[in-house]
Amino acid sequence: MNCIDKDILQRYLDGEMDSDQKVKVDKHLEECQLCRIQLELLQTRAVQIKKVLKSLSDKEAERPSLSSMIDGKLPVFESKELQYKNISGNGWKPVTRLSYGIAVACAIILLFLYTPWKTPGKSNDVVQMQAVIQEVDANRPYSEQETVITVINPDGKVTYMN
Amino acid sequence: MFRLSINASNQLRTFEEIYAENYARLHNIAVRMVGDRENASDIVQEVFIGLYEKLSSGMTVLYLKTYLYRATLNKCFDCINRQKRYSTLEVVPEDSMEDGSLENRERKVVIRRALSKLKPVERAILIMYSEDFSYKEISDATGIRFSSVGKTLARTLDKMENRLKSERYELY
Repeated sequence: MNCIDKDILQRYLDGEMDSDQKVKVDKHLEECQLCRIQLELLQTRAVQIKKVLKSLSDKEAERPSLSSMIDGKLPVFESKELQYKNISGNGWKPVTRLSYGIAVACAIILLFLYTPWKTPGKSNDVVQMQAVIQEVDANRPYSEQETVITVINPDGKVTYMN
Repeated sequence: MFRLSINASNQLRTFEEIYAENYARLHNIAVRMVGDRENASDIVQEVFIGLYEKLSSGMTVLYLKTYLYRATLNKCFDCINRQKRYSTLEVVPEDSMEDGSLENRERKVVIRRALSKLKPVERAILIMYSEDFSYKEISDATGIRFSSVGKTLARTLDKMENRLKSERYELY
């Protein structure tokens, strides 16, 4: 069996390993002296580095008074059952909110269904087709040009011609 | 009145209690992260003011400890970035100038120098590890994936060991 990676040994050392993996590592450690030495070294190193880092702030921190930090009345935290009030901001529990939501949705659907929508009726608009025929003679002045406009209604009758 | 749901226990808690319970540990972490007590005090104070404002605006903090550690680390990262941007000289941290033997002070300076050469996230992992936080707590506070904490931690411990060696610090 191959030797165990350093990061796996680290997790083993810190007790951050599931039981199946731990059994495997235990078994390997029984057989492999090299890994046992490595584990021991990692353990010593972890203890030493923790000690070194702890020595950086060995003085107890002075805690400033809260009143100097925050003006006004200090809050009191209440128990879990009240958490919904803060999440919604309106004091309703999720079940209540859901039922109100469904009721509002139904009302909107009913309103939509019973609205007397305007059906498209017969239009009174007169549709006319028109055509402009203009022959342009570039050699004649514009005032002498002739324009013919023909307007035809939907029945095909010519209503205007010039 | 402010309300808070606290995951583990269902007790009535005052802001003062939460402040008193967590201040020292957060301050310790901040001191090790940024290197001086003054900045660390400001950071922790900002975190608690932030929490106060959050609660007073009606918001809920579900995982209080995670929130506090994450907020502290984020502010420490900002502070480290500012320090990097504005300081060109290597400043001996004020903390190491406190009373103590010369040897002790020198030792602290060396450790700080080694620590400051790590990335801010690596520094955070190491500091939280030294405070005996679990991998889950480290993952929640730093934002590193839970499955990566072991690997990153092992790598960071290697780095720290090498940095201390290069500073001629005798670890063993």
